[in-house]
Amino acid sequence: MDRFFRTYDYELQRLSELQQAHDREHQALKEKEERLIELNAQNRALQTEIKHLKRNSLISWGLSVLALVLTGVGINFLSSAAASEGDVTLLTAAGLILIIAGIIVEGFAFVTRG
Amino acid sequence: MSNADVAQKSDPKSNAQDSTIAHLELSLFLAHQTGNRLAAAAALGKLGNTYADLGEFDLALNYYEQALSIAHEINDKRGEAASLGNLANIFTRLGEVDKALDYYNQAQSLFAAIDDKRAEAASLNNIGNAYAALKNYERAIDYYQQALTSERGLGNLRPEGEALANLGLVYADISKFDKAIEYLRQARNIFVELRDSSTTQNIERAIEDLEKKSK
Repeated sequence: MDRFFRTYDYELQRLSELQQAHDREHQALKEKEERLIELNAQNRALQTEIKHLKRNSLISWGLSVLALVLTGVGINFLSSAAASEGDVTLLTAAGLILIIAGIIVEGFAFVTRG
Repeated sequence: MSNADVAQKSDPKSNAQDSTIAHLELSLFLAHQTGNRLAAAAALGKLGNTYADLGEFDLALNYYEQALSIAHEINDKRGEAASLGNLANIFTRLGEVDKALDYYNQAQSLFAAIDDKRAEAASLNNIGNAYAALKNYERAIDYYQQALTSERGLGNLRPEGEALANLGLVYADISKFDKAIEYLRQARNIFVELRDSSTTQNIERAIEDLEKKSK
């Protein structure tokens, strides 16, 4: 049986180096892709959060305006009752109820604003 | 067509080598046409390897020398080192062992400079062969052992099997048959794992011969 000689290849090492470089690039790209997926997920979560905040803000402003209208009308009723003669019980009660309702609605607006 | 011709035509390895030579000659032609010196050196070196495998050492020498010359011109250290190492292999086979050792040393320096651990490990094995050819078995064993350690470190199974087989053969040369058989069995197991039936059979035949001698 003959001894084994090891022949030296001409491009094998070069190809092997290229393969290793390719593998390293592939790995780096894979890591970047994973990071991108992670950032996309974070971005999506932030977008949803912003959407919720915008919606809450809108609701809050709506409730504040409603509270202002109710309180304004209530005060107007009370002023009318004070200026009127005769039985103003109903007008006074309605004014008070509207002012209380306005305060309650403003409370809701405050809670919604967070 | 003679029986030998028929046998050669039906030999799959020989057919594959014919096809390899045709492809490499085409590569060489295209490399020359396009002026790609690196590709030309690679094709010449590979032609040398194929002819060396066929036992056509004069042709192999010729191709390796052309490859060496181009590699030197274009400052391709790897190609130069490979050509020197391959030339050294041929010189060992032709019995010009001192010349072979000189070429191996030059190749080793270049491989070390470009940090090619695989080629350095291959050289350790080949230098072992050169010392075995000089019947300096102690040094041959030393180099084979170094090659074996390096190849194991690099995780190269086939070169590990070849280093083990060479160790087995050198121990057979100094009539340490038990040790020779032990190394050859380890080598055989590796070639079985690699599904290399031809080499496995060669090693098994060598083991059988040694078992007969050791009785």
